Amino acid sequence: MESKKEVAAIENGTTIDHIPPKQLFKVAHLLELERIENSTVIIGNNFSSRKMGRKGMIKIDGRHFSESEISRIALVAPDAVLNRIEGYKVRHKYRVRDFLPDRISGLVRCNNPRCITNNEPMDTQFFVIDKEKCQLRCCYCERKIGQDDLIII
Amino acid sequence: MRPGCAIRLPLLPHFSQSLGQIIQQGSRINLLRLADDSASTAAFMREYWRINSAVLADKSGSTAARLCARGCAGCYTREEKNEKKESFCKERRGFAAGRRGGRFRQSRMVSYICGKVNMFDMENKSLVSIDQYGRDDLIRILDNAARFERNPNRCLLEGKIAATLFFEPSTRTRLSFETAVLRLGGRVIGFQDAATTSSSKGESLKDTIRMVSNYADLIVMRHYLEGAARYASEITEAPVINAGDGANQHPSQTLLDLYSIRKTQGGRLEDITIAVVGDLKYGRTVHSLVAGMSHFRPRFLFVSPDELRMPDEQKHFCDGLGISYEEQTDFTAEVINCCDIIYMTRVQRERFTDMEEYERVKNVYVLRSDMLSGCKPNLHILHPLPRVTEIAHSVDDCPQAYYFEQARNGLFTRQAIICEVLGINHLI
Repeated sequence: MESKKEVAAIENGTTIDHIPPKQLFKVAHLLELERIENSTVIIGNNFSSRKMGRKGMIKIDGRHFSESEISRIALVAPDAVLNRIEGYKVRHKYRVRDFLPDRISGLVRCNNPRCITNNEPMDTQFFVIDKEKCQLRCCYCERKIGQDDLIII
Repeated sequence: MRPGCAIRLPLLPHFSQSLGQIIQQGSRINLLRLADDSASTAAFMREYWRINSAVLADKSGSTAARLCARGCAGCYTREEKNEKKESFCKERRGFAAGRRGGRFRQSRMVSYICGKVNMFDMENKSLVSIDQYGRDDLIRILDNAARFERNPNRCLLEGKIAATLFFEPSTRTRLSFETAVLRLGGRVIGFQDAATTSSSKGESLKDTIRMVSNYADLIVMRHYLEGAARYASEITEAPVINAGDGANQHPSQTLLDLYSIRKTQGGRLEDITIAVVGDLKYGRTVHSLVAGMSHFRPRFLFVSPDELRMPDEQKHFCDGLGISYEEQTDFTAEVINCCDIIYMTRVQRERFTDMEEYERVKNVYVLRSDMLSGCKPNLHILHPLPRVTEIAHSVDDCPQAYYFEQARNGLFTRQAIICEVLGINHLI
């Protein structure tokens, strides 16, 4: 609530709240916010939060994200909350984690140096084996990767 | 029905009836195209699990449905499906209330279904990992291998060419695959040293496989990179048999191990106690053996030094299936006397980055003939070979030594695997 006072409200669009401060710019990059030209984009970091101490927040006016776009950020900020704003009101509230797909293609690097994906010009493929812990398994070398070891391409 | 042809079936309720009739007629369905409501699909895939792969073409043609196209037999039971359905509905009420309509529901349900099945190539029947075979598949292959043992010279591959691509050195695997093809009347092309091929000039694996698939009907490949076989199976129409991909999988070895176990235990695979000794950390054969035996209620004794213990992943796998196992660091007489099979493994120098660690553990277990004095009468010693020091040469003359026969069994098992991937089982 405190943070809302610090940032202007948007009429229609998307708010992504409760982003871990360290992941904020990664989230902005994954959503390709630098390419948005005609909408207001507000990026704020280190707001005080009762839940997480400090948090980041992104507000994009006049823009809604598709399921596949949100799924891209689910790996780096699974606990973030996405609000769909219509007429200055929160119309829908989603947990980003719930958009984590069952299979992730080309977004994460396998951390096994002997995996074929690190030695051939090809896309990586991962199964999401645990959505709560954000645990992945490489479709090729079958190496498991925890959230802390994720390397986003 | 013509082998390999795709069939299109009417929508429910005639669907199950028609499918049942086709299966009763003895036709084997390799590719099933479903155009039905996906909620009922899990049940069908389960019920008619003989189907190798299914294409779920929902009306919207969503991505999830196309993903599921790569799913295969062996999905949720009815209870698991209902449980998933329930959690799915809860989740949907909670977080996706704004989205309505069949398309979303259908695609999420389909992705749940395909979440559990192993993804592997849909068009061909490549053998990449032992996990893709269920209990009945394993038994079918072993039965076929027994037929080949009775009569190994069969002209089933006349006019066919197999490519054996060995990017990493191999003796037994390559020779037995090549012998298998030759005994089946086929011909062999290939290489055994990647340094003599274009890959040494920087050619990608993709290009090599694409090129070879123009010449051969079947590819047998060993590669030093993990996941190489799966990748190869995705880029070629020709079936690919994984003859080892780094430290990852070596499914044909597992099948010949199962064949040897069954043969030495009077045709039985169930309720066998297996002591797995040596390098359990890097040994791909033991990981696959655990997966392969998991269908037959085994009991494992994992004997290894602390540095080379069985990885947690395999232990969790056993826990999940209720397979009993014990971990030991001592290779004692009690271990030897209580088991039906001793599966010895070599400590593989090539998998170590720390040579000091290798020196510390390389001779930790040595099986000698005097250690077998109190063993069970049905005990047999298996080893994937090559052996270094872990089995003393004095053991070779003991009746329990079975590792050379085990290597011989590799020929028959690989003949059966070749027929399996080429879909010519009915000719055996």
